[in-house]
Amino acid sequence: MKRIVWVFLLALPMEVMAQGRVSNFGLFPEFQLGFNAAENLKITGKIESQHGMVDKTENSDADWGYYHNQTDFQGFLGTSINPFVAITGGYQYRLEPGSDDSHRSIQQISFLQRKGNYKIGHRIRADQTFAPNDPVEYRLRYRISYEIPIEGQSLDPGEFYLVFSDEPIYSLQSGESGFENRFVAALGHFSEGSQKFQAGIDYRTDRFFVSEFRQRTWFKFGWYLKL
Amino acid sequence: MVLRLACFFSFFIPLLSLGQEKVEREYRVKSREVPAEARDWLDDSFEGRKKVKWFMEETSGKRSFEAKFSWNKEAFSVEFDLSGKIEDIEIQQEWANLPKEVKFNMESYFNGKYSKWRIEKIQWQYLGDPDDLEDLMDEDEQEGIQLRYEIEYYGEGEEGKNLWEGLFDDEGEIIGRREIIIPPADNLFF
Repeated sequence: MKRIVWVFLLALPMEVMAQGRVSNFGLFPEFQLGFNAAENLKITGKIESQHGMVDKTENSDADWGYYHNQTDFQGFLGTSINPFVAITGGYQYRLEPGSDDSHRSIQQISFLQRKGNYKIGHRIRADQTFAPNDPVEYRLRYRISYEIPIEGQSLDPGEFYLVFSDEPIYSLQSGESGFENRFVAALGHFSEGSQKFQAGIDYRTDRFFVSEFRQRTWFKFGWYLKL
Repeated sequence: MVLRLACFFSFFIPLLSLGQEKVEREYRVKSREVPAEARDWLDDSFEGRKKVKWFMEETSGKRSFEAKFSWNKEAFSVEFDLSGKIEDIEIQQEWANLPKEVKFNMESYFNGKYSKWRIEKIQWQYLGDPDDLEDLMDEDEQEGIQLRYEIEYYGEGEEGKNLWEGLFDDEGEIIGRREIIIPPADNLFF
């Protein structure tokens, strides 16, 4: 079962690129650390970084070569309303070669549902991005995630799981609307010590309303640690 | 006799563990790894059942085999010790199927302890010796059987807002409870 999943995940970028509209493929590592600072105050830090490996535009050859696309540093403060609902505020600092560094404020509410042997996570998030010489960009996004254990009826330490998520994002900047969709499929391992490791594909599509429809595919792998 | 004594004393264990956290690990095992005694008991007691999924369950240091399957449109979970001897049978049920008096007693407990509560999952738990449990399944014979209710519920009260697993006797009186800790799911939200 695990082998089949790996073959599917690793083959997906090739299938997407074969369709001819791929703009890039690259690596997307991320690290997340969360801990409770007080009884009902949780701090989460995250670093995620995108590293391009190949760019391709329609009717042209693929342009192979490494480049650093962007790196985000995020910090969040959150509180739980109950075991299933949490409210969180955050800040992001982005390093982006070729562009000014940007700042982002983030607000989110999240809901956890337990359905039989799997979990569903709902995340509603608003963010505002501030960059020198650019108008403020406002975004509203909703992400639904499924976490499905592979080995048992519930996800326990030492076991593998699958994660699927989809997130439509609406953006508004200088009166112009944009739309992006992010789909993630990954294989994860819930390890001892409240840590998870995940690896999979992050497939992003945007610029639906203009001529340059864009697809970005990342091989995303992450370490999620809770102290 | 030994089993009856064990059942009697196990009745009080939840009282001692009041307030403990539920730490559980469960993973799939192959049918051939399960003792023949357990597989044979299942074959004799549940004729016509569909495919069984076998698990190894580790709860607070105790290990056992667990068989999960559907039978007569109900979800069954049957637990065996490592030698293959049956420990209990659990059947998932709806709130509406509980006896009226049991529901009344449980509601009294929940209303007295919590300002807001919600049932998440109900399992009827049958305890008894292997022959009595087999008779219960194939002949609906209740002799020598002890019934308890394992209820997963959410409660808001003076202790905060928590998820619990409560064990109730056959009349719906609380025996014990332990807090359920949901494993971290930050990967779904950040």
